[in-house]
Amino acid sequence: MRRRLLLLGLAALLAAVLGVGFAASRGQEEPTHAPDPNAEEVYVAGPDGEALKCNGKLVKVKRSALGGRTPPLTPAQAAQQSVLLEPRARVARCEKGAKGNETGRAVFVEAGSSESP
Amino acid sequence: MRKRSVRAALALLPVLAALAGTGEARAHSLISSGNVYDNGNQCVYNWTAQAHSYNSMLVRSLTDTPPYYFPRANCTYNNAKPAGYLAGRWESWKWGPNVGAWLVCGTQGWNYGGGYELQVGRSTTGCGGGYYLLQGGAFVYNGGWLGGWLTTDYEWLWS
Repeated sequence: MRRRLLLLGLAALLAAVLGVGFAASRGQEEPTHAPDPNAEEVYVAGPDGEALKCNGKLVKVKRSALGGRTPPLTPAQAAQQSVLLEPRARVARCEKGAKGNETGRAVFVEAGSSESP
Repeated sequence: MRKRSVRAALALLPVLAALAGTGEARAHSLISSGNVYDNGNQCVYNWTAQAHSYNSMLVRSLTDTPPYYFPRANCTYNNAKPAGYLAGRWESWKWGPNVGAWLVCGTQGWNYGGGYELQVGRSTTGCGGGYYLLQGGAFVYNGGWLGGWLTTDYEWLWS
């Protein structure tokens, strides 16, 4: 009897884990296409992981703001500017004006900092 | 008999656990790799990988010609470059179901290096659960920047 209960318990536990994992991955719509490499503007994720909204409106950023599709510096410039060290990861946030209100534009900041410059 | 069934159930636990969460089951590396430029004298190899919690890519400068000029083999030999002649960058993308488009979750600025290989890696920036993919750009300077981008397949990640 105890063993049956144990087996039943294990089965219930597995079903719960399966259910949570499956629901989390299947609850969202799957991607329908790949990112367009030629798009001039792209959506960015905000702090909540959803498409960033500034002043209540969805914002897009210029592709060039991400860093461009080809390296912007020549090897000589790279060596001069001491950028051989790894730069930090960057994420998008709403730009704030002098009074702390959102301007409606997005800027990229170093990952880990919550405030825009 | 009962003992056997209990043992069998216990033996199956790890397998079932591995299959349990689809997110976890997919938490392997997605890799996209290959030569993104090849003119014989200069090849640029791009290796872009999205792991569960780590984004990485590497640039490799290769050539057809070995140091003693024989035997030639397509994009096989290391072709070392001075400092600053290799560059790489990645972009992490998350699917935004609300807008039906990919969102840039995070990126890392261009990294420059020398030698024949440059590795660029960073923990994921974390934009919550969703479908993610990684794009990596690999370039080598040879009178201009030569190379290209690769995109991994997408997978569900928790963060």
